[in-house]
Amino acid sequence: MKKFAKKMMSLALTTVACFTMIFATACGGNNGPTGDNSGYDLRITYFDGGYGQGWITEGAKSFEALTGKKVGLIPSSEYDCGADIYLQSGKNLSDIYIIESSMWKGWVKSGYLEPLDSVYDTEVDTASGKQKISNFMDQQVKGKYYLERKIGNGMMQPWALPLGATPNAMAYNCDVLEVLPHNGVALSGEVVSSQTGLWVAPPRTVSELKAFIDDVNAYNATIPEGETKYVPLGWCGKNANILFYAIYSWWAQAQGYQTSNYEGEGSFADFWNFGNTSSDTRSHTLDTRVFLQSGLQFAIDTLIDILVNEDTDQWKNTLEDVMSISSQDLQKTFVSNSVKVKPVLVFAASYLESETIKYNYLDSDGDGQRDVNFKFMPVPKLDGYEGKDVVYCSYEDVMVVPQKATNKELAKQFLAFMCNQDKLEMFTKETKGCMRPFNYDARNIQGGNFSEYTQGVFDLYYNSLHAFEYPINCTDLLSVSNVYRYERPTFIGNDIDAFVKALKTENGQKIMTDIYNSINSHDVSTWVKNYRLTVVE
Amino acid sequence: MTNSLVNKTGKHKNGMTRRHRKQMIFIFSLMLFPISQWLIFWLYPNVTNLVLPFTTYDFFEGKIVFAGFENLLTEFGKVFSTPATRNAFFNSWRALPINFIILPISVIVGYAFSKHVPGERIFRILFFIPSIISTVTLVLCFKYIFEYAPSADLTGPGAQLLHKIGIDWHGWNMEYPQQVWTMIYIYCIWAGFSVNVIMISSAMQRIPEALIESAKLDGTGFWRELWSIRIPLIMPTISVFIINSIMCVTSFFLVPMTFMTTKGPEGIFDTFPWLMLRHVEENGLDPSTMIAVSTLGFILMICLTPIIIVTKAITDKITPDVSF
Amino acid sequence: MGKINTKEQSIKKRINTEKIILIVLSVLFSLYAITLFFPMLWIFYNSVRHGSDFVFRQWQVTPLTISNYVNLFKETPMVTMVLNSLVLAIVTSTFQIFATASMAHATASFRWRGSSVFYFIAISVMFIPTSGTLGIVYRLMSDLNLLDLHIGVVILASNGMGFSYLMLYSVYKNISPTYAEAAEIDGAGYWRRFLTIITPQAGATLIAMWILGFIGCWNDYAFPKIFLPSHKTLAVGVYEFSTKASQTGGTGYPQLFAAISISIIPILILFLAFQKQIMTISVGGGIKE
Repeated sequence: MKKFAKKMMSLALTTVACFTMIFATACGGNNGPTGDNSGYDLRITYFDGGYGQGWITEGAKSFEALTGKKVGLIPSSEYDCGADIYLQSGKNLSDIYIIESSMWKGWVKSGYLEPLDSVYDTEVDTASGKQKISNFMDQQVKGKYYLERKIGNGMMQPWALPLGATPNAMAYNCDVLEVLPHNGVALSGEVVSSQTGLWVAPPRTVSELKAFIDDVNAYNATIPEGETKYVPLGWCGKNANILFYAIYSWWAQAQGYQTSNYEGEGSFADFWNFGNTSSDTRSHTLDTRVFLQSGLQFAIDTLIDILVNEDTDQWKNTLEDVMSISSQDLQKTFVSNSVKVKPVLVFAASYLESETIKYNYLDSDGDGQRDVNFKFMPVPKLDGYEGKDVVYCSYEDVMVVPQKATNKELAKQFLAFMCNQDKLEMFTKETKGCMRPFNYDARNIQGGNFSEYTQGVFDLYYNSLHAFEYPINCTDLLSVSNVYRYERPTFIGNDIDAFVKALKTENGQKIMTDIYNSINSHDVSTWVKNYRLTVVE
Repeated sequence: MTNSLVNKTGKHKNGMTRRHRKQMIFIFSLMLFPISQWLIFWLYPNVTNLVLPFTTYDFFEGKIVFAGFENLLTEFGKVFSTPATRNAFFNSWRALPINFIILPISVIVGYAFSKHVPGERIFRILFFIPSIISTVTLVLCFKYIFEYAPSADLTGPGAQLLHKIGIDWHGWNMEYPQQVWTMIYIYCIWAGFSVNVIMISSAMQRIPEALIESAKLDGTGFWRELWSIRIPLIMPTISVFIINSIMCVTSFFLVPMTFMTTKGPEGIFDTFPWLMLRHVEENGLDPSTMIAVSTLGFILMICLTPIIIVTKAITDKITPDVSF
Repeated sequence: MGKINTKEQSIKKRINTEKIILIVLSVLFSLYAITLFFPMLWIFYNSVRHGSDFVFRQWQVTPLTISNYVNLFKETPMVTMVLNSLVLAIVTSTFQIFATASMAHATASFRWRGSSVFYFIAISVMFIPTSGTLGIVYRLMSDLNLLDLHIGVVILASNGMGFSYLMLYSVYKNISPTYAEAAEIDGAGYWRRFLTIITPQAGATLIAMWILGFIGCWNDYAFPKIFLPSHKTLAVGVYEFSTKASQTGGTGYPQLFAAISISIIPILILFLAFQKQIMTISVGGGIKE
């Protein structure tokens, strides 16, 4: 019996072996992320993330109707669509890649991408008539996509078209806010009702935020065991760059957004050019003293004050195992009733709602109602700051055309087509409120049916200063330091986990001094060599 | 007839018979694929690997240029000056001492097998199984037994047991690296010793029975027999095991990577092989990646090679000069 | 007489001590075997439970379900992953034993000048430690247009050298040339003799090596991850599932456990069917990696 079983097993294996060898040799090519090769005039591979698929499907359909060309859409689960290996060989390439990654800068350097001058020069239909895409685009953002193909040859060309403009701030649980009593120092009637003593609006300043946190902790203590408990503020240790939403906002407020509040330190906007605080911005000096900006240290200290118990060096006011939580775990704990401990406030991006819809977090009990009502809110301002809200916006999603693509002209036509104002508005509608960095007002979109959350996103986006990781103080494109043109170093160096760990035990000054010393001992020499810079002593 | 015989067996002008020539063509065709594969995928990369650490990538010209010791010294310096690199370097060596715990366990178990411990046949099969299950799968089995993640509503039976006996286990949490590394060591021993048992017990079974019998007659006890007779006689096998263990330093990445998925703050879970893997995954086509990965490997090999030579010399010295 | 009795008694005492030690060791081994299998059984058991039962009724007896397996195949590219693993494992192990057998036959079965050089080359890969070639090999694969192709991984993994070569070398060396000589007289060519006469005599070893090669490829994470990024295999897929599992909360773990079970069970079946052959040619060494 045993021998028979073994013989049968051998026979089965041999059959499978023959079949698969034929299969293996037959599948000569590969159909990786570029998908099926057949029958399309234009192939687009896109990262299937928080924006969803509605906008690209609609866009492709309209483009097909206009041009009569067939468009193939291939979703990818990777931020850079796994395009790297195809770009070099030129085989199995799509005509457009829509990625959420800064990899495209390396692709430019390696000669893999097609310059998009003609796209930027194309005129599109806008509410105020025909405009060139380069003028219709948000002028603060435009410079990010211009690079020299060969560093130092002075030919700045655009190589990518931005996709989304994502404001990042906070969100709050409206249901809890409505029943949250305030204790302690009386606050403005705009946030706490003098009649009911309950919160009526989210905190607008850091002191109000601290009072809110205390109130949530007190409220949580009254909740009996077995019922859902609350923590004041949720964030995620696995994607800890979510803390930048607050840090950038407070940093820009304290340091000065465009003009510095501290003599000789440069403003927030100056930081991203690595310190060209001198008048000559074209000499590409490297001044790492910007890492010691007082406003940045103040922002970090403000965050530490809220998140860290200085007596025990442990996290406070947040979820117990915050360091094990990813951004999606955080979304789930915030919007879904299927968890035992929920945060009342979270750091949130504009796509929070569309992502929670995509992952089916909103209605965990299936009763047709959202588990939690939530709205977007700005990061509370620093006490004493009088200016507009400062919102950290990300612009890392881009559309690029490979240099070896088969249908480059059609690809560029599609890119330009998607910049018409009606297509921008379609994008915003389909993505439930995500914007593109162009000069159109999403609040005027007809038939948008935007949720309260999205309306909050619009309100903030159009009434705030946008803080983002690009030197916005520069007079022309060539004056941007090569370090920021070709790399995107962050203010924390390369190790966000070390930064988060240091928050528990150090203060802002020590943290930034350590980062400053580390940058000087390692990265500076590489940057000086790679980008031919001079160092400011 | 005679002519054809002479033609068949007589030598040609180049000294080869036709038969011999056919044979050489056949041998050549047999070796064509393996030798080509060796030349292209072993020899070329390894020779290049010896050269690349002494080069650097000129960003502006876009080519690799000779740079002497500059690149190597910079990277080696980082091992001492940069916490991230230092941690990655020293973590790579964590696997080594584990093997010195695994070795005696494997020897004792192998000895027990050669003494026909009750249930030997079944144990032989069962103990072999970890070596045929993939590392990723085995690590995940172990990981989820000890998982402690209240936000994800998951506390594994192992974690529950640890809590019950009073051990404050925080789960696979990067904020408690000492705990995590201790559990990783336990995993390595748990999954690792059985892999070597077959090797040790086969080596022990090759020892002539007569030797063992005469030792018994001389009054050698159970443990004495192991220590004074069996271990010295299987020294070559133990030596192979030790050399293999030392070489594991160059491939110790999958275990910490599967447990933690993140290198942690300042690379507390990182290893050099993992660092190399990440370089290639993130930027594999960039020539500077080749140089960076080669340099990391070179640094490891500089440290490993003298250790291997010394270890080999020591084990050769203590191996008794017998053959059987 | 007294002395002989004392000696007999001491031998008996030693035998009894040995028996006790072996029994104690046997108990310890049994405990270890239980710890070895408990995690796998726990994972398998929870893969056939509902997610909510796993989270909220972990230690209670609850109804079983195959929905996790069904959903796994429906919602994830599991079929493709299994196929990729199968194709790679079968084709790679076949190429491997072909390459190794060719090399072994060429150097062991014939006497010719230079054979010892190639013998040395073939075993040297075991002794020369290398590290850091990953970047170079990746670039090489890209330049040869073998990146992201199944055949690329097959070629990369199919070296005819190392320990397998050493083992096959001694097998081929010990194969009697009688049958081959008889076949030569009958007019069979070199290839025919190699494939139909000589190699079948090494059949048992080759089959065992093929199975081990299959298991190794099925389990391999690194090569498919780096060199075949768009055609995920099971090992790569299971790793990715595990990194994303927490996003669905605890209730999503049973589906991950189903994936883990699928990657273990075929190997266990294969091993149990051929364990004798596999274990005779296996040796271990070093930490499990």
